[in-house]
Amino acid sequence: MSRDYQKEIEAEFLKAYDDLADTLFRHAYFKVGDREKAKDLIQETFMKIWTIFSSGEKIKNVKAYSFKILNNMIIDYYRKKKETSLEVLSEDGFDVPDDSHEVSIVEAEINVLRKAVWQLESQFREVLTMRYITGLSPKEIAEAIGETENNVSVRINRGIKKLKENLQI
Amino acid sequence: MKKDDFDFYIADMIKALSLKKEEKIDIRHRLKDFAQKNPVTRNTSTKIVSPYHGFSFYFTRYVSVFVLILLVSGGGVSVVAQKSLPGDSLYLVKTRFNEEVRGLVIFNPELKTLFEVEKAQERLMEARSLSQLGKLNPELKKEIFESFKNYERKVDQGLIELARSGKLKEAIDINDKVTDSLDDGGDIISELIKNEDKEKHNISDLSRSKSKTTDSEDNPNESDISPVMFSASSISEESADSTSVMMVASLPFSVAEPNDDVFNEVRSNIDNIVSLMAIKEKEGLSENDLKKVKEAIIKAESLFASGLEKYHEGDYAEYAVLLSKANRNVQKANILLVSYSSEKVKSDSE
Repeated sequence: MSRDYQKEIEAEFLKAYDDLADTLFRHAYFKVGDREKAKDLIQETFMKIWTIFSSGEKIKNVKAYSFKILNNMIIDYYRKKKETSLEVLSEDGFDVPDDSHEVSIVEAEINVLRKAVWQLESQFREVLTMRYITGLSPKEIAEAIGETENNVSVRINRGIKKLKENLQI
Repeated sequence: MKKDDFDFYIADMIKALSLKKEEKIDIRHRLKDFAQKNPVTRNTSTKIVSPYHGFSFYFTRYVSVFVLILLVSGGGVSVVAQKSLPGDSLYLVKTRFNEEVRGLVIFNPELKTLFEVEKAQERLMEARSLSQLGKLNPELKKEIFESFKNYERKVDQGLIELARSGKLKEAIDINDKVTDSLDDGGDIISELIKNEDKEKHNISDLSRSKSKTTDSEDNPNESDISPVMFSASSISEESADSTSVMMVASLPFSVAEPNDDVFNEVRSNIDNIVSLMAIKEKEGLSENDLKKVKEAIIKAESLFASGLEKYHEGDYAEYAVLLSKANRNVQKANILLVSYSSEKVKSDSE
């Protein structure tokens, strides 16, 4: 195995980390509500991605794949905690924020938002999370969930309306 | 608040939530370290050499000599080569001529996939013969294992194509044959994997260096185990027997359409082996010995995730194959565990 090739793959892998770390962190944090756990989850996610990179297999869409791995790890995390049913989790569930930790102002705000999003119906929760946390465009969301772009836009609008009601804004 | 304002409000809030610079660098260093300790195993960027390169080389330059030999010996070289082993002078004739020529005349996708299974089995047989002769050195182990994995990949591709073309039953039968091969060649596979194991560094170093989370504090005995394995503690010892792992190894192909039950079964299969591993760790097997098992489980988890992705995309054929691969990986992990346990019992009794 040439050292140059190792370096080349390593550089590609680390670039993927640089590009995706923050987005994945937000996604993980928004779902587990724990900074340290979110960091662990993204580290484990990238370890798994390296396992694929190092085996020579090609990942067509690293971003989509990393989100998929991360989501599975989040489901594992909840399975372990056994605080929420698997049915709820598979519908894109969230952990109820734990206010006992000392958190920053941003994290406190996010936790308020998480609580409000948690109260939404799953169809709205799903598209809003994909839109604002994952950063997907309505078109990408439509492709991901098999709906038309128009339907997705309508859902986002309605979801925001309900979210504002929940947040009393 | 207007919708646009609300959009900005949420977007700004979300954007403000990010990793601190030092956190990002810290994780990056750990990942870089991990990547260097677990180097790339296959170079896909090197020039892709045609599998028929050697054949065509001989064919174009030495065709007359070759034909002469064949005429004189009546094909004897080819027959003798069939019994050769890696390292023998005629081995190239076996792999580059006999097998390639046979492959050239097989057009049926099912038979082609079966032929790859046969070649994978042959590599295991060769490894066993060499081992019995005391000639199975690390270089040959590496060469044979790479070759075996290559055939396994081709088999998986063949299975996907078969399943896609509606020949699910044929795919099930072939998958069963692969499972049987792994079962029969368990001893030699564990030897080959352990050889590869020596060339890599222990991934658990990274797990140990990770910051401790609340979870690890709750489960101090599991703090060195990857989070993938945490569910082990909830599984009973009885459920972790090797037979149950073997029995469900071909499960994904036993149903025409996937459903959540299939996921749960495969998931449970992965959990079982993880559980067994946790038990073995408590029995005193060194973490170094279990490193490869952990890697197999991580790989199985990745394949499981890929299967999940395909399932959601509606690509059931690929889903079935990926889950099957995940199970086979778990099966390999089980083979290793059994092997390590036997060695431990042997060394204890000595």
